[in-house]
Amino acid sequence: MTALPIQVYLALSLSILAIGAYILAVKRNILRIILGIELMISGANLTFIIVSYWLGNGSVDPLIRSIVIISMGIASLVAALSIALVIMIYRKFGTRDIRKLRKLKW
Amino acid sequence: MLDLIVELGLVIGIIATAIYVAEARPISRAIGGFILFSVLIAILYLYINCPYLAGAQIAIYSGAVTGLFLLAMSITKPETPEDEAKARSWVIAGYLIAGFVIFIAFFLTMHYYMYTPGISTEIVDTVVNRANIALMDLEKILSDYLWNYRGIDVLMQGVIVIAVAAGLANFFKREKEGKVK
Repeated sequence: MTALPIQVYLALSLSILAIGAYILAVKRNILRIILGIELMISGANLTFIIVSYWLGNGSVDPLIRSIVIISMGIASLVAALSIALVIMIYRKFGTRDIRKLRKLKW
Repeated sequence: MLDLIVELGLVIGIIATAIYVAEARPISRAIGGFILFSVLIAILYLYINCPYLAGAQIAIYSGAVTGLFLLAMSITKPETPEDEAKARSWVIAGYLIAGFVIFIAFFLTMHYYMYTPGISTEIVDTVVNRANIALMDLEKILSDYLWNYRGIDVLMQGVIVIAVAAGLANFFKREKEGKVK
């Protein structure tokens, strides 16, 4: 088992999730917002692994590993599609500032 | 005691790099912080006996996703107040070279630890002792699980490739239309 208690790692995962949520709520640059989404997915993956490590007394369930690897693939898919959207938004509106995209509201 | 220091360093480093991603200006530095964040997460995975996850973390986050971010950053001009400092091309090249070197070093180290016969390493010993299962059996179990999901994996990779290809095609198509106008 790890030298630090499991609560520290759970707090680490929640901190990463909180930092990602802060980026989503406060920042204006779309690229940074996508970085925040990736941070939140990393925090969720870390939570999966840490809880499995804790329940398995030092070994992580292979099914959880598979789920996390699939989650990483989906995260890369999200990033690819989001960045494609950013490029198209930039070509349409000429900005990466999300506050200037209020024309999208209806 | 050494374990405690290493784990504390990893936890503090991960939180610090996550905060750096949130606050660094310009965005290129935030992307650099994201590379470091992914590498630290991979080291944590390696530390708790998940070498395949660590490899996937390095390959996907520090490689593919970061490359996409650098691409998007380079083809969209920084104009927001937080992007006033201009990104320089040598900084991007440095990030790419550093990521490549870290990637190669990580996999060479992992290969050395896992496949060198007779070597007594902490990683191999902890995997064998704690799980009470041979390392090759663990790899076989994991490979069997992953083999069941190979269709989903290939499908996702195909979707990613198609999405990127469609985005690039649309990008160059609009460029051509702009020239015509």
